[in-house]
Amino acid sequence: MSLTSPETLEEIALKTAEGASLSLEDGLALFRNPHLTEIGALALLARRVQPDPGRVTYSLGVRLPWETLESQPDKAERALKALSDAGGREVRLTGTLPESWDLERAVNRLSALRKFHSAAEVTAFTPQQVAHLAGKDGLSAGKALDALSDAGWATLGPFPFESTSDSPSFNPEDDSALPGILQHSQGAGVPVTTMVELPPSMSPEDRLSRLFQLRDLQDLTGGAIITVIPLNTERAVNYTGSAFDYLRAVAVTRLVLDNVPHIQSSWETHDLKVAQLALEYGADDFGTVWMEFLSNAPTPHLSLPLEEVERNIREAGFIPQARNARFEPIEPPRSPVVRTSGTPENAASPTG
Amino acid sequence: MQTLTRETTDIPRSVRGSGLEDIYDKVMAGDRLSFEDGMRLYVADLNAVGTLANLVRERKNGDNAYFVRNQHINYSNICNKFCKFCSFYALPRDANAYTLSPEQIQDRIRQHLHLHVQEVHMVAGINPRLPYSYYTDMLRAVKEVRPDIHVRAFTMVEIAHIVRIAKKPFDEVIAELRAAGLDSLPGGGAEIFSQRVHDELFRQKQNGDEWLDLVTRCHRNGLRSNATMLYGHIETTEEKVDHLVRLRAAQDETGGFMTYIPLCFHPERTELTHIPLATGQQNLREIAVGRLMLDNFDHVKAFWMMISIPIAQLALWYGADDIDGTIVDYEIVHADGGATPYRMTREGLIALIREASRTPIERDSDYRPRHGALIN
Repeated sequence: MSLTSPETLEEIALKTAEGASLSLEDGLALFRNPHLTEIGALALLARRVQPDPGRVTYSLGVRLPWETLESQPDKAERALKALSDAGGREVRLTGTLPESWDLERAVNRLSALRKFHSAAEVTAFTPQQVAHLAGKDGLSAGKALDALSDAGWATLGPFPFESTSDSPSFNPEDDSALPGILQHSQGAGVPVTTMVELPPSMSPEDRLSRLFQLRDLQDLTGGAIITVIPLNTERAVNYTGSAFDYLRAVAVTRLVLDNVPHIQSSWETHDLKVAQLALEYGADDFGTVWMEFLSNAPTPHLSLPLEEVERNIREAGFIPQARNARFEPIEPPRSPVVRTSGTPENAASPTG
Repeated sequence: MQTLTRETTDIPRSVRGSGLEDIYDKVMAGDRLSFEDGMRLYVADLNAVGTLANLVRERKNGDNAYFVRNQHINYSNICNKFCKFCSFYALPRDANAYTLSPEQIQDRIRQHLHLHVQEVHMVAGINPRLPYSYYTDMLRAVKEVRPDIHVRAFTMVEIAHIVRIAKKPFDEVIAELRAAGLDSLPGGGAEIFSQRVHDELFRQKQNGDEWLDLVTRCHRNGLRSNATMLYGHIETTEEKVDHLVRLRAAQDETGGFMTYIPLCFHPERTELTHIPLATGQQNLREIAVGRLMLDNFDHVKAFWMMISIPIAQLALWYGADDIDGTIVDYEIVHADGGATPYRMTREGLIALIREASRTPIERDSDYRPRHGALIN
């Protein structure tokens, strides 16, 4: 049976419907079969076995560089109050965690944010940053995670998942390794968001290897990862693959990562039209609309009008559902302003 | 594991359970789809519709994805039709009003003489101050500079205007335009055939009946054309299906249409700014439905300038076999401040097509491979 034959896709469909994990051969068949709409249909099949398949979630949030919390607290206050007024929850801390910060300082800064927005949920940190903070105070990663969680930290990431030469495994001697951090994160009730880069320059085998490692990591950590953001970008050379390649990557990610509840489409790396189509290819989350604060503008600006998000979701045949940073449903946010032009003062890269 | 049977694998997975299985049977049998089928295609699962369209696309054109190296010249933006969906037109006294002289058009052509431009595409507003001779002079001017270029020019609205100001019989005017250098018609101006939409949005312009009458007369006079449909404004699904069915009937009559091009309405800076831009879903669905309903058209074009480059690439799996061309100097969308780039390089188009696992073919205006060879 050829890798691209209809029979091969049928085998994959049966496995997917039965909840069986796909093999390397299955993944290769998906990458090598050019019939995009058929791959999309398989991904939708995989989506149907996930919770609430008729809904597509989205979030409203603000992005703040770490240093803003100390150097421009008025700006942080303004952003969080505006977010609270609009009914959004997500606060994404971006950029580099200041080297001088220890755990206590990070906890204090996170706690301070709650004064401006009691329901604020912070998405921040890479596993390395958590390990760094824990190590600085001579604490276990678990203790550090608990302290940060108590201060309002809601989601670990998003951080890029890097392939390793070996399969992921726990090392009892190394509490700061990725699997351990993720498992502690799971224990602390802090779900994980990770990006997986699957650029077309990688062979199908290497792309699949990366996905299989992620799947193994998810099994190993008892389901720490709540959402994966597949990207066909290659940051090192600032290259983004085509829409065709992207939709296939989204579909394969949905099909291979049968143990991850959510797949996020990316209208920040591809355009809105393509992000909408990713919903036909297995994505069930539309990511976060960012409130941005333009210099000299009296009101915040949205990176995408909420009405547009909802229209795109509905036209794709799904029900839009606002969510918090933990992917729990919340009341729909209120659009604070119309989209305007200008350079946002707190803009950050999509990967935050 | 369940044993696979012929029945389970015959129908593509995306079509199974979509409610379109009977349409799949029709497609496979080469049967014509009905108006009601068309209505169902507009509400069914997009990937199911795309798969069906792809079956027709591959039957007609295999893996081929055509493109042409072309140049667009919009010779005047002055227009007296005041269509509500247009952001391009200007009044004669407007600061941005312009009309290119035949010499200026020649300069535009000369700018790209170093490129292997195969086709020049010329459409414009209806400028009532231009005499009949302007049109014949313009065509001669193009051919004088570039004798081998294919001139695809004039919407049916322009043709109607030219015939009127020529004060000559229709057949005679068409013959004179052809003698001056007109090779084919781009098919624009059809908008949507609904009289309701005509009266609401473009009442100064010809209606659907008049467009169809003119285009079929042009076909009978030896001028082939494309056909278009403007979607994403106030039209209903019924009006779109009606448009397609009427195009199909006209093609049965003359066989003069080469390519169907669904055109996406851009609301920016028009009188209809309250209407949101069509989504990617809508763009691909229009391509796919057009491919399925227009069984007597050889080609369906994804006009990337209107729908974006990524969507045009994806359209190659939703029924489109043509991605238009390199396009230089296109003004109509960009008068509204659109963000799509003005041009694609030949290499860019080839890469785009190859990344979609299709075979790029640089074509001439009659869909013959340029230089008689595929691109390796």
